[in-house]
Amino acid sequence: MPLADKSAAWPVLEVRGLCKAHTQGRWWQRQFQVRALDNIDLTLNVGSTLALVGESGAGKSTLAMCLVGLLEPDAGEIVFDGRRLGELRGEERATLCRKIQLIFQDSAGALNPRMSAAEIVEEPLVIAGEESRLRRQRALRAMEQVGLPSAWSNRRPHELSGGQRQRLAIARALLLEPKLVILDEVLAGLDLSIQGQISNLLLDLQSEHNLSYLCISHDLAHVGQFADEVAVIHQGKITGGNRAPQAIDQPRERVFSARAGAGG
Amino acid sequence: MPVSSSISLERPTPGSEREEATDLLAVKDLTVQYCVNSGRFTAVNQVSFSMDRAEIVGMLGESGCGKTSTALSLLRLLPDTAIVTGGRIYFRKRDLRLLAEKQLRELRGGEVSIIFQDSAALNPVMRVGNQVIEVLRAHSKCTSRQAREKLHGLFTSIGLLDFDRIFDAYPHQLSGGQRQRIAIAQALICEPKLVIADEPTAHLDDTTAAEILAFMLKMRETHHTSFLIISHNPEILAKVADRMIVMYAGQVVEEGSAEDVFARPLHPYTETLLRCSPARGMPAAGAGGKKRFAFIPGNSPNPLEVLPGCSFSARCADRMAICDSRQPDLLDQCGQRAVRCFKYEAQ
Repeated sequence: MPLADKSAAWPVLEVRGLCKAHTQGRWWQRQFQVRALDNIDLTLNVGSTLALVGESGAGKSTLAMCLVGLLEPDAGEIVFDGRRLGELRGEERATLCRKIQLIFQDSAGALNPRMSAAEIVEEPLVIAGEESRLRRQRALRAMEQVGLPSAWSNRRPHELSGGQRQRLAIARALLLEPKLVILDEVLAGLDLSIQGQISNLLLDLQSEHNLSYLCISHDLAHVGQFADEVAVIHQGKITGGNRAPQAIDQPRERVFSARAGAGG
Repeated sequence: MPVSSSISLERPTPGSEREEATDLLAVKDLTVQYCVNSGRFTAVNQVSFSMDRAEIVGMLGESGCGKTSTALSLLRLLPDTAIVTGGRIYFRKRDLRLLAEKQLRELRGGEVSIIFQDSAALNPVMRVGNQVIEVLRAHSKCTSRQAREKLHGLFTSIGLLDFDRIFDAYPHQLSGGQRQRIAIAQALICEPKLVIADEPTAHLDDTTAAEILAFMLKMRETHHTSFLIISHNPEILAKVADRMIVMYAGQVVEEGSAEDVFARPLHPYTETLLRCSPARGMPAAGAGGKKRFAFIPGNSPNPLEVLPGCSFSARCADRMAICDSRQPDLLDQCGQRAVRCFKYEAQ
């Protein structure tokens, strides 16, 4: 069983006591703080998949933004690949952060509408300073890998369906050979058959490159099959730590029962 | 095909008034073509179906199968590159294809409303509350206070609880789920007779999706609203739909009551599609105990290539010799179901 060697694996990502508050209210109004993340602890081992489930507004996406450095956490630390992200600056931090890739939920918003598919996929290589001929080759290969024919390299995002756009986003994320990929609801809105294909693709890539996934999702049926461990986030807090997906056999009752009690 | 209408005529209609006894919506042989650089392709191919008052019809199919084009063509909202080349759309006995633009405008958002697939349908520079009220005041006379009160009730029932903050927010200040609920509020505020919902819960979490679906069921009870719910996810439709239409490559491939279709899918496509749902179990682990998700092999057919045979034959597990020679017809199965497959032709 894969679980046995995973327990011996070392963590690629450790989050300790992470806090992040958003300020709400406009300047003339009384401002108040919303604790989006409240003392989050997470551990993700190399080569495994941790699913983060919770309802919208629970803080899942805020956590993802903190992990990739789009938001600065108020407190706590993020240890990626044995190094504290908060202590690194400049080039060093950028190099390390390249190994964390984020794939967004809204593929239409995540892709530049004025760029062709191949340009979108090769953009990370442009930033990384790769030679132009190699760039296009690698981009096309990545597109083939995610099931997009290379003949489509000149298509713009609006000429692709939602599923095809998400594949394009996945191709772009995988191009810099990341160690950790944060999947922020990547399967939401995709066809079941495509969800299955992409899940298989992600599983293949995981075993091939020893990738770790932090899979943010609200599709409990899928997560139960896809992830090795599940963490439940509710109102900015992780409840119960990491558990096996089988522990959430009655999803609605277990995960969302807190809402009925608190929301009342 | 007259199959669909015969089904609906046999159904007991919940409405008592005689005017309502006929179909609310009847679509006959609707065909939509798109013009692209390399020619024309048929996105919707002779689709016929009908809906009764207070009926929830689920339209299931993969992306690109023509379900959104069908929905948009009902209210003449297709992009300029698309043409409706044939068919009739009757809504309460009026042919929508013959209506003038002005009359159709009154219908849109009033008697028939639509929930779009992506929440980019909202105006980014207008407060969302005003966007919903705009719809209400375009169709009925009311003061802004009345409108606001009505909106308060609606927001609460679809799970938008922090009314004042959300009312004054711009779309970018809301989460995807909240924006989707604003789009739903826009569609429901005028208490329409028919709501076309294109993937209404795609970006919502399970709890919210369940709330929205429950609200749809409640609207059906209290206002006799009909819903045409378009989705790629059978689990959503299994919860609410009375009747199912399964589409593949622009055609209706299977039709029947939701219970039957989910319990006993006839068309090989429906069968394979339902097997892809992780909620319905996983295929046995492959070599080396690796996890595998079920999927339909191959790709959806290229709409530009018109095949002589069945459009699903290339991906079908039960393929026969006849499948590639001609197109199957939509076959009536005991008046309650219809299926487009040669497997059932002999019976």
